[in-house]
Amino acid sequence: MIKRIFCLCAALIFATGCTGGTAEVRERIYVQSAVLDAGEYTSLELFLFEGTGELVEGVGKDIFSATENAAVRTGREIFLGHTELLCLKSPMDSSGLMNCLDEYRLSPGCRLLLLQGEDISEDTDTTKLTDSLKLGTEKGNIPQTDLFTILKELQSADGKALAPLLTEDGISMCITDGQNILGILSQRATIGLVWLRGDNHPERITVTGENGTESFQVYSACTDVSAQIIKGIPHIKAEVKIKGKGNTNAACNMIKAYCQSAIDETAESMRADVFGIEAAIARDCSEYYAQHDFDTVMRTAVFEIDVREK
Amino acid sequence: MNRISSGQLTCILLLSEAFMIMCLSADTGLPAMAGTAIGFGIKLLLCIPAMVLYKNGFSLSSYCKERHFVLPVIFVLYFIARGGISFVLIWNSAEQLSLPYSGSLITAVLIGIVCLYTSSLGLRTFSRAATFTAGFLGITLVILLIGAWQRMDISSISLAESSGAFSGAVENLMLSDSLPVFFVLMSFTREDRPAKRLMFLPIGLLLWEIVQLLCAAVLGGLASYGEYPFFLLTSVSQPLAAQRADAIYLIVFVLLCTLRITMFTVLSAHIMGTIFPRLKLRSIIALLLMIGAGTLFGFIGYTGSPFCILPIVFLTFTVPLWLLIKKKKECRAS
Repeated sequence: MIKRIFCLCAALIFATGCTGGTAEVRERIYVQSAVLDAGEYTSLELFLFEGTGELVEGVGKDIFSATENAAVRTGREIFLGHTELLCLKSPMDSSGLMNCLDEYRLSPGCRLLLLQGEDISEDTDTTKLTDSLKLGTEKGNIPQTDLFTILKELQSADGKALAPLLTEDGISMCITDGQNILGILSQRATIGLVWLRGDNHPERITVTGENGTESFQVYSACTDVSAQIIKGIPHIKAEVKIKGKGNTNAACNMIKAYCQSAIDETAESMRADVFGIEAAIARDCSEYYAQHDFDTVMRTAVFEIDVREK
Repeated sequence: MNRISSGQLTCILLLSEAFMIMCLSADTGLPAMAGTAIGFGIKLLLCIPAMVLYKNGFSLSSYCKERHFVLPVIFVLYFIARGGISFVLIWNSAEQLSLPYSGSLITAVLIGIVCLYTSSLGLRTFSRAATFTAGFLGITLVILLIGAWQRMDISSISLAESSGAFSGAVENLMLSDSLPVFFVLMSFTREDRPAKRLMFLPIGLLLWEIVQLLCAAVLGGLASYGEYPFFLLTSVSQPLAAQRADAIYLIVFVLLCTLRITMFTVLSAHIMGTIFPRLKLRSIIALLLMIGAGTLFGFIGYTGSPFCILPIVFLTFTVPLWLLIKKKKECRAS
């Protein structure tokens, strides 16, 4: 009995991590958002959760040494696991993002925001910035993106991803290849991508019909991207089905126009696959996919949009 | 050694399978999933002679007591080698999971101490611990499913790289060291319907298929990026938006590796006891041999090859078949 009690006590002390290498909550800094500038030297600005009113800065050769530097300055350990927003002064490639996810333990749901030219100062309320990104996604104004979706897109065959970008006018969407920003999307294309990606459609849209401007309430919507090879040319068909209350025809026409803008600005002009073109070809035309490189596919592909009532 | 139930047998073997799923880099995608199903089909066929042998009243302990040394020694050597490989797998994957103690020696010593204590309590206590851990594994799987559900994209399955069904089947069979364990543990399992004793196969298949499907549907082409797809899957399958559930996977990983090495220690020590009844400190000897084997395998960088299938087929299929034929001949002669 004594042996068992002894073993239990020993297990409680040694096996639960209470002996060493642990940190109290007050000994840690919980980061709400981070601004990363990965140039010759990596500089990191860490915004803490509300209430602390503190900005912590660190510089180093990489994210790790920058974080260590910031930790030494404050005398507290830095915990990045709860980070809600990661702002990048310049785009980051997939290996860098993978490190953020795997090594620095950032949440896959952490939002990413590119800051080409724009700056985030000490006075910026990064919580509000995070909330506006969240709200924009919830309302269906911008497509749903986070660290994981951007990483997954950068790792795909075309190596391009859709990411939010902070501009003078607010938050826009852009296409990046992990090195540069290839182009900023218009408002119409951004809304079109919301429908083409089909993750977060808006609950209400304003349409212009025969009776003028009116509201269309979207009950449900689904998107299906399929591929077909006709005479050796890949035909990509994006099918959006909607169900709602209001002028359905006008809503369908408007969504179709937005989707067309999105295709023109992404797949046609930048050869960027940001709504599942590769997956559709790999699934529906596996032989063609195996025989052709994706660049050829994107150059020759013909796009078709079909928006209709469910 | 005490007797265990079929359910406990299933839990022990399932935990061993689960550890292999976590530690090894396996292919994902539909061809790999088909390969896994084929692998499990072959495993079922491999188990048939052992099932028939035990139905005819075979007992490994009685066989060892009849002064047959060669076969028990082969089993002990196999378990020590697999225990050693388990240590290598832990050392290799410790960095991926950011274990608090990732130094190979301290990890081995800590696991060794826990295994030594657990194995000293006997097979019955070990099997109860396995049942508890299996429950915990079930909860973890539910959490993984909840986290992965938000990230699942069925169209991503077509993007998952896979080297084909044959390769998937070979890879699955390479990791089937639970089959020789099954043959030995059958000696200590209460008599039950054969279907109950073989439950570890369909549940194991389900576990494999779920993890492979999740890896393919969540990670897609990203699955080939990381060395360990399971850990990559857990990194991105977080049920809460801005909070990670890594601690639960860490606990399960540590529990599984401890139980797996304990399983090999318990069985090695028991068989050693039947061969050399006067031998003392058998568990310590078995553990030290495993750590030694692990160091050797770690030094040469060996964690497995298709040749691993040969001892599995020999110990699970050939040996029981040979014993069965021998028994039939003896029956006819008498």
